[in-house]
Amino acid sequence: MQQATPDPPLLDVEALTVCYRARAGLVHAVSDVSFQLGQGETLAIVGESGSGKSTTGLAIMGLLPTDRRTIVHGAIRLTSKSGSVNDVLRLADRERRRVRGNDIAMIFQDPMSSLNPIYSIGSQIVEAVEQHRRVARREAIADALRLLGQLGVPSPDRILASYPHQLSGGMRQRVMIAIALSCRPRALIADEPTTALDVTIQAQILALLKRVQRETAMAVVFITHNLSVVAEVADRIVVMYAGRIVEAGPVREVFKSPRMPYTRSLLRSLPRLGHVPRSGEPLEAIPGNVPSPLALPSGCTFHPRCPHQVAGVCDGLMPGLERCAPNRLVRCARWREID
Amino acid sequence: MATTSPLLQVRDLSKRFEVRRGVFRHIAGHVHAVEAVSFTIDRKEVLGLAGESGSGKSTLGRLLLRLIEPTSGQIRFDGNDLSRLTAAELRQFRRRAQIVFQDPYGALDPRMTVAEAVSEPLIVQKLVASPRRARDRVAELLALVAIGPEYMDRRPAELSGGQRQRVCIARALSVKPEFIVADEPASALDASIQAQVINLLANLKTRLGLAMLFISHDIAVMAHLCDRIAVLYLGRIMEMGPSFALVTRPRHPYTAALLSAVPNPDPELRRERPLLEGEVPSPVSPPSGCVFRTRCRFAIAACASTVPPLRQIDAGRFMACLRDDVP
Repeated sequence: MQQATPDPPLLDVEALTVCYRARAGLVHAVSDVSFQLGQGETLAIVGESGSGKSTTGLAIMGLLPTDRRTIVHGAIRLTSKSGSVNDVLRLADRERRRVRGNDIAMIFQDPMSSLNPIYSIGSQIVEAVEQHRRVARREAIADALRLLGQLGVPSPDRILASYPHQLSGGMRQRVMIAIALSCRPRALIADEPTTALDVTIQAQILALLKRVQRETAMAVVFITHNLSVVAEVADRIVVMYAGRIVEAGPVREVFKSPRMPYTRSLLRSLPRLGHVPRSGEPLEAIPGNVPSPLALPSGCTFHPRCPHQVAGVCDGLMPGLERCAPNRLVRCARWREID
Repeated sequence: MATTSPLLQVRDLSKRFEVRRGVFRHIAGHVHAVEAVSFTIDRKEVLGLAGESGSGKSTLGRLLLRLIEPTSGQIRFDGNDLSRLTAAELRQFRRRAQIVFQDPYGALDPRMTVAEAVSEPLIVQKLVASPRRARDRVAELLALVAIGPEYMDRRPAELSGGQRQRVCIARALSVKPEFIVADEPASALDASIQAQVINLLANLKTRLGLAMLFISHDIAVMAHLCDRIAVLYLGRIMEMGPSFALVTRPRHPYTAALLSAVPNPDPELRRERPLLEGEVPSPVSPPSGCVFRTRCRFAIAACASTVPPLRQIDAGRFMACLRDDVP
């Protein structure tokens, strides 16, 4: 999306497609998704349940199942610390494990299920450090203490000795971030990292991620359904619906003038504290439901819920992803007419 | 008198849970879940209850429905003390007050069809003469929440999250309640569906004249639905008032902090803001004096020794803070 630079982008996802063979048929979880991510940049992938945003994150981490029921196409090229470019989808397991953690790390919505309940926090951070760096145990522990201190954890030594169930949700997420950052990855995939947290703790974690990013020039893929969070943290946004990108561009531009009717409706349905409505004033809602991946509508998958849909146009062929401005993409047959 | 007094009057309500430890399960302390809370809810009024996890908002919602018993204090529903209801009166109360939970996946029995789930309260309360009559009523109720009659014989697995929550709302409405506790009814749903559910509740409030306690951690959503908002912190009401005034001009430092933590949906207004540091203290040993003082930027020495009373600062506006000059 940016001007051609001599360096390849840090992360280059090209035509990623993920399908699952289910009993009821072929489920298209992700269809033809492409985007790039530069150093120090934050890209938000936004979508509702079933949009394919989390599957995209798992694919980048090389965490999709490798059984015969899962079909993956496309390329996910990652520039490693050494400068070599690897396709995550084509790496051998061993190589992939090296890339994971070292070059790219991931944090999830629910830190409780990502942490092992029977090991102390300390041993889990130390394990992560030892997996990737040849260091003595004492050094790994010192590293863990330093990391937690940097992440604003009060009395890190006490946290190291505790077990996941003894910590609050916000503290567990800090520990997950510490583990993710322990090998100084160049990119972080954050899948709904603050969704399960209170707004006050969410604000702390977002500020923390921003600070880490400023200090390390780490790139972040921020997967979320919360557009207000996107407005706070991201440089660029990719909006997904039913497995496809439907709009992409710089956050400021997309928020100012969304082109795809889905993005427009999502933005209008946000409760805004800036101009608070009087009680009783309805929120703008999107009618209908998110379609099931097993029964996707014909043509544009959003057309049954779209206020601008025209029979014979929107329900026929799937519209392509078009460039509507220098840095912007939109998937809508009528984007030129509806303004 | 019954029609002019508030529907619900809560006075000095407290709930403490025992914390038991050791082989002999001795009482090691108490979780102060709700502490000396007083408020009223009028007929046809929606009171929003805002607060972080651990603030006691769900406990308070359950106390109001007598799903759990208070440690002390009094709840009057339509003038009657809830703790003194006879078995028959309690049954009557269960018809008049209902609850909608956060998780519509856990709230519906996967083996029951939509019609069975929605008609169950009608049958329990013996409000329908025959199953056939129940079906007509179920269709009516589903229409009220915008679900077509073709869903009557489907099971929860065939419904989306938003549809399930609508079914739960229809079930709560089946017995024609006057009061509903809605405990984070939209929080588990997709962004585009949350607005649908909030609008539905607002619509039902107007059409059916329902009174509601709307529990949420999302204060931004509350302004759309609620007449008044009460902000809870460690089981105590910090501030209470008309929602528009409270959200646009918060007076308690905690309310102000909670509002400033809400991410702003306008990327042009991205800013560094004062963060509320630390986490909610343990409700087993809450701080002395004002429970918020340990995280408050404006705390003074007196805050550690004096429990600030919830005092009136304006018409209909209350707050529990010693200082008048902040935030």
